Amino acid sequence: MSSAGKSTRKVLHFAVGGALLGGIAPGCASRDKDIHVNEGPEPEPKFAPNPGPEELEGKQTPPEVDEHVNEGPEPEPTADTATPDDKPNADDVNPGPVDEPHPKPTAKVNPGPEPVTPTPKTVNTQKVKDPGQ
Amino acid sequence: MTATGSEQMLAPTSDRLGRMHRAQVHRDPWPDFAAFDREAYDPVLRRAAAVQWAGRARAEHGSVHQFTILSHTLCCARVPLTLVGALSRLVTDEVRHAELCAEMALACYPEGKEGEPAIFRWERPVAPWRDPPTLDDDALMPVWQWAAEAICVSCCIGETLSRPMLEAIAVVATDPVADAVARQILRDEHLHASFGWESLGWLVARLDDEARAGLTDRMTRSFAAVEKSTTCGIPIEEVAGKALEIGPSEVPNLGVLTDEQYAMIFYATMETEVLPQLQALGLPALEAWGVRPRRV
Repeated sequence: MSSAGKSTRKVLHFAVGGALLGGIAPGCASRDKDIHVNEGPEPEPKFAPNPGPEELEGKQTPPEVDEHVNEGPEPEPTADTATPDDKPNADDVNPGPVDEPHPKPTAKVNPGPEPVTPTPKTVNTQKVKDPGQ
Repeated sequence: MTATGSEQMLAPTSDRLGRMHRAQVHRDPWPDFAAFDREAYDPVLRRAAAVQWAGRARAEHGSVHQFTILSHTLCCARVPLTLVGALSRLVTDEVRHAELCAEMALACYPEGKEGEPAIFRWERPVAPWRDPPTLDDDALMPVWQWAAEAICVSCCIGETLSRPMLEAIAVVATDPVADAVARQILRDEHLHASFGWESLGWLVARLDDEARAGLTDRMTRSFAAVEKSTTCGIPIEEVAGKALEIGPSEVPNLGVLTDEQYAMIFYATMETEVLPQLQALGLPALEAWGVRPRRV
């Protein structure tokens, strides 16, 4: 492919050789293993021809991609949400005052590391000890 | 009346955000869309152009979506900043392209806002890839493979094809506003393709045999998909051995190509640019092309 200038505007030249010939005949999607599912819509160049609304009418809406919404990491089970197997042994839990109607366990289940406090980017919150000292 | 999708794309937020947006995104002088001479063109011609420009706006917005997912994933994988820095440029470019195309669509066919809002629809973008894999700092190979696939599809194939298509759109456009829009977008497309080839090379060097095989499978699928969407049903057998010259249109043209032009640009670019460059990276692109499912 090359282009040559005219007086003010280009003329583009496109030539197709024979390197792309061969392969499977049109209409034969024979490589079943290449037909993947749930991999999103098929790619197309941004400047490919676009169908008008009239061409879309009657077309079945393409199936929604099996999207997985990223909702962040699974929350650690808390005492309130833990399943019976996860719930702390009653022996390990300080039941609190007896007259409290719904005692909440004080022991956290798998609390993990302390939550990170959001900090302005310009603040150096962790002083590292000078290794030379 | 509810605003159309294209109008929603262009909707103002606040004065200050608007100034920040223009300072960051409007790198070149903005085309004078108000100068578009509607009365000079047949409404059928304007409508056909609006269909194309509104579709291009959706596709450009889709690229914003794709490149931000890619950026997020590579950022989490802690790739060097030069990679995410270069990629960041692409995101703002695509925002500008979406804005240019939406403005052009509305300028071409403003009566369609009320009469045919479907022309200016704006669907929620969905990336043409699998979701990124869960990150494991001790096993980054799935991330490299996923990113290589995404960049291969969106940049090496998509952006490399977009450049000659846009060049042709700019050449055939007889209207100065359509010409200015196409040329402003065209100035970025070469950079986007270059980003793709450079970053794909960086990633391919990190792939093991299994990941390379996965990437090759993905290439095969992508070849078939872009062939189907771009060649307007014209098979390679019909154009092999032929040449086509695309010059300024003899009749009014608002930036629209013919089926034959699309097909010739596609096959010529695949043959002379996309496949050879993939081969040069050590990927069996010609073989993948040969076994692609044909659905043209």
